[in-house]
Amino acid sequence: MTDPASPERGYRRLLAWYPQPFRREQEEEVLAVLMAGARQGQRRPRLMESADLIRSALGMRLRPVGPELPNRRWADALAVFSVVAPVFLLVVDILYVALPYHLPPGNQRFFGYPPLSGPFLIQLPGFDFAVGCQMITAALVLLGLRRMALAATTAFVFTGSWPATRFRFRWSICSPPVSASWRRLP
Amino acid sequence: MQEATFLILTALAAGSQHGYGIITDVREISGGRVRLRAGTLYTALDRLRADKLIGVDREEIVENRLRRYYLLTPEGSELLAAEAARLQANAAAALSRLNLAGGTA
Repeated sequence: MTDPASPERGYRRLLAWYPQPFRREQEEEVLAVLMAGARQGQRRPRLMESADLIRSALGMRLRPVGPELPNRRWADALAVFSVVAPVFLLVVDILYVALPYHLPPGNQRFFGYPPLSGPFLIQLPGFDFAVGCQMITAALVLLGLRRMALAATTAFVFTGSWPATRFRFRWSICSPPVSASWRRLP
Repeated sequence: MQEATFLILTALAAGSQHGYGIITDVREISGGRVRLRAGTLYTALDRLRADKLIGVDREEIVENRLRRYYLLTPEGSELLAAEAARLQANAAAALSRLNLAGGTA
């Protein structure tokens, strides 16, 4: 049991933001450093300290691990892409549906051929399934669960012969998480 | 090389140190100007280890807390020496030109 008057529990909660492999190896070590730096009578993590830990943890989640691309810049670029791409596609797909509701009918063409956007899209069978798949994939990638993202993507692609996914969802579901998952595999 | 990285490598130049030791040493080396936080430190250590510029020397348990000691690898020493020489050359150039400017003013 940890002393409720000590900031240890708060620090552990912040350290949970780090990727699992890092936590397994270094959580106790970083905790020791944080506790050594804690002030007398301090009961919870300080604000700047918390922000620094979260920033560091998110930075590590974006960073590639293990042996891979020889050039660090390419590795960093791929790491950022693998997180940004699925989130971007999810947002674009949601906008594709949500935005035409707010546009005058004449302007709906701007967002593509009308039957492929807005209310029509939402009526397609399997639409919920397709967006749901993307949400799950984006969440898995953001949580750093790259293997699960790859497995989920594979499963979605195999079940992706759904009528709605024949339009454009098939590609938006399968392309970015593949690179994300591939990057993390040892 | 970022200043924090330079100072971390400098802190390890004379011998291995654990995380909190590096934080206090960096503060001392920089005359109290650079105060590393744990998150920043471990981001830097993680990257330096991946680049094989530092390695783990040993681990100890002190008052039930884990301490891991880091040390410079030969590549790390080489890089630090090159960076220190570069900074020294730049500083020397700056100082000599300032002296020159002072002389002609």
